[in-house]
Amino acid sequence: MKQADPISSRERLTVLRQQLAGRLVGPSPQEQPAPPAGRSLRYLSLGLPPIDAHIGGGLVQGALHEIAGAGADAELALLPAFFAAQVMLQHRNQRAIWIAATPDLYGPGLQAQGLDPTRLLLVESRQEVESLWAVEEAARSGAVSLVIGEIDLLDLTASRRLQLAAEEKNCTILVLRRSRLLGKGGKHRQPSAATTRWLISSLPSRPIDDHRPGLGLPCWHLHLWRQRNGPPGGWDVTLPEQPALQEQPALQGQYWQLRAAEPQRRAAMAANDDSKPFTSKQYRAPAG
Amino acid sequence: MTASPSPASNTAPLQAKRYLSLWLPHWSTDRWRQAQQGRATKKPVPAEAPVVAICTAAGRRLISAANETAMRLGFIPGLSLADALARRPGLIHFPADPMNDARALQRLAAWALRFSPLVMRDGQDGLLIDITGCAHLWKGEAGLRQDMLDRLQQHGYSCRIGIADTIGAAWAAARFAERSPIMPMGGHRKSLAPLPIDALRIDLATAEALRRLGLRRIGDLYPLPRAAIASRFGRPLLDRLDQSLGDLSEPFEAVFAPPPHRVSQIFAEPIGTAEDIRRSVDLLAEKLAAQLAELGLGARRVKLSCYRLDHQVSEIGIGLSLPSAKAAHLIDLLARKIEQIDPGPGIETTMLSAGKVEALRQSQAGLDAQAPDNHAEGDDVALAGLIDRLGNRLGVGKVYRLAPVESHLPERAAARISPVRRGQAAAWPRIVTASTACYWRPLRLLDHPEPVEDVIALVPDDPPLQFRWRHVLHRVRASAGPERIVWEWWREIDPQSAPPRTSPSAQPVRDYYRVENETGQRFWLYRAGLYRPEQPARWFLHGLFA
Repeated sequence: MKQADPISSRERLTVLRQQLAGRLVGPSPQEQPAPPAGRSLRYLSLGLPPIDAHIGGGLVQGALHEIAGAGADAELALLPAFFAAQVMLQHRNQRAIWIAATPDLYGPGLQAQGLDPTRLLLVESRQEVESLWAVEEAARSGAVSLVIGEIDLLDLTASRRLQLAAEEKNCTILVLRRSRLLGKGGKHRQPSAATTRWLISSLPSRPIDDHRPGLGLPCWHLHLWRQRNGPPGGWDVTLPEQPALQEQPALQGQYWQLRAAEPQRRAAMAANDDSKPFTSKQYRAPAG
Repeated sequence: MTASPSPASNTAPLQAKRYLSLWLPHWSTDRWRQAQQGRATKKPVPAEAPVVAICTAAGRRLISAANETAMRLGFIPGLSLADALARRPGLIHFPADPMNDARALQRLAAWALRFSPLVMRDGQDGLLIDITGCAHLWKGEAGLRQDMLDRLQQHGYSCRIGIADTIGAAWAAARFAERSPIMPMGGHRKSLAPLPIDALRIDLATAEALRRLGLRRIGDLYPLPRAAIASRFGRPLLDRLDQSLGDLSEPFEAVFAPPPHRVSQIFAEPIGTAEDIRRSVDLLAEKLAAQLAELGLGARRVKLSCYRLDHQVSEIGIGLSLPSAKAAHLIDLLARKIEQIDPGPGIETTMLSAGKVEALRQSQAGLDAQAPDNHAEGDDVALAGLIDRLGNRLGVGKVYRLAPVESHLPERAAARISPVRRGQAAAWPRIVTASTACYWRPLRLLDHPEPVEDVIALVPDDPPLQFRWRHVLHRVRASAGPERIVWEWWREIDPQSAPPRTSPSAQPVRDYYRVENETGQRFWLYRAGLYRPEQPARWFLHGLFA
């Protein structure tokens, strides 16, 4: 090994020491407000204040978010679709594109939520690879600000690619996990670069009141099981008895709202502590 | 052979046209021989053997076409097959196939586009090509003619080619002027004079009548008073004469309307690699975009045609959702499809043409004009670009929007529309109002209603208490309904479009229920048909709620 020049090596050593000291102490707050250099984080509010507060203001814009449906919904991806529809409902001015291999999204169903289906650009892909390509292409185009893709398998590499694509043009990507093989759900536990990862399960509906038996208002459990730089969480949501009748008819729609947790349910949630790592074995769809 | 006059000595008016007439005298027999050679199992037919094509007319089998040897032996079209076989027992014959002959001629016309964009089919066995201003690429008309002859004869097609100022003269030159098939510019009157009167494209009876009067050559008609010709032989003869001499214009109906906006590149050496094609596309796209932009136009459909050495054309096409005159955009879309080009033995010419152009809208408004969002106009252009990229890879119609259809049948209530110009589509009515508190439609609708089994209902017209769908048994916890939807009786007028009676959607009445199982999954089920005691109720699952 060749001996380096003693003076220069001493200088370099000093520099290295300074750098190391800086590392150990940590960056001064002025130096770096988190990695996304040159862009301030903006959020897509979910319209549910406690959840928004929990995740720092809403879904981070220009990032990848992953939503899966629990249990039998892994194949149908209805609950993730509902989540995406609610996000679109809260942010009607976001230009959205919806990419799916199974084109079974139903226009009147979106309309029933209060959305205008014509505003949504829909893409039917033939294969998983094409879906991923289309999601990335749409995110990088800068033409849309919300990309919703129904994707079966999203591995770490693919999710990193999508995360980078999302950052590039500040486009939010919602990946709805949808298993294409019947009975092969539950792959949502793959590692992923997504900023937030949600698992949604349906809950038995809530009767409107005691005098009206039959099908009540639908309820869901939103489980935020992974969040970058934040704790997980779980909330029950439902639809209101009356759809929101805003002054502007353009804003009417069935917005979700938080459901006041019933005592026994709250106890159950306490038992299933949020801070514990979540596994699908532990998770059981709550019995009716 | 007469060389074409050099441009310097060109004294003809600027509008002077030059037509090339290609005559394939043995088109159907040559084509048949080509097809035979392609089949390895058949033993080859010697080139000199007489071959005739047979058609059936009025119960008799007649020769409809014959090759050169057969013609020489007297097997002319119109002779009955029985006579021909009596004279030559082993005569090779095959059933005529005029439809495929015509198709093949159409393909040949497409191939002939390499000589000129204006090609017209001429009868059953010929082509007419407007070669005005094209011949210099072959160093003169003689060169062009020779090139075409070589290419066709190489593949075993006998052909004759004539070139003249008028369609009629070129036709005559191809068929009757074997020694001087190229009539010099402005010299067709002189060149036509020694040709037989049959060269005027007149019917046999007229030709025979003329011959009986001693008028054997076209030149014999020149000194005759026109009024006399007209009164003796009628207007058609005079018209044909005038057309051949260029005194009367004749319509030219090009088979393929030439795309008005096209640029092409001819290679000294044939190319075949994707990189070379890509470089050619870059060059052509720049040219085409500049050409379009100058006219204020944008392309909606662009086609890249690669003319190959083996007379095939390999093409790729792209569609654009909004007219564009941006070279980068065209290149971006074309480059993704270059690998689909089959270069074959090599590509000698590439041509980029804008098949459909529209006026370029300076501000491309209208895409979202009525939308409440305030996106910049640049976004619309970006969106159109995205739609193009997705559509060109995934296929036309795979990028769409949903528009409402005035139908209360759930499967017909939405239809796909083009992703751009959604302002033209009907608006979705707003359903959410105070009076109808909730309007329930599923978020996902199955393609076809799926039958469910093991249905147990308390009373036959009640919602089910349990059902099995996709092998999973669901116990119903709560349900709501029914919502009765009746088949649109007026659509049954057309039995073609109506599904068969046995299919579930053909049931005249459906009672839809929303049901929820024990885990909170919500389904949209219906019972097909009204309840009848004698037959069990049939249940179908049509959609799913979130």
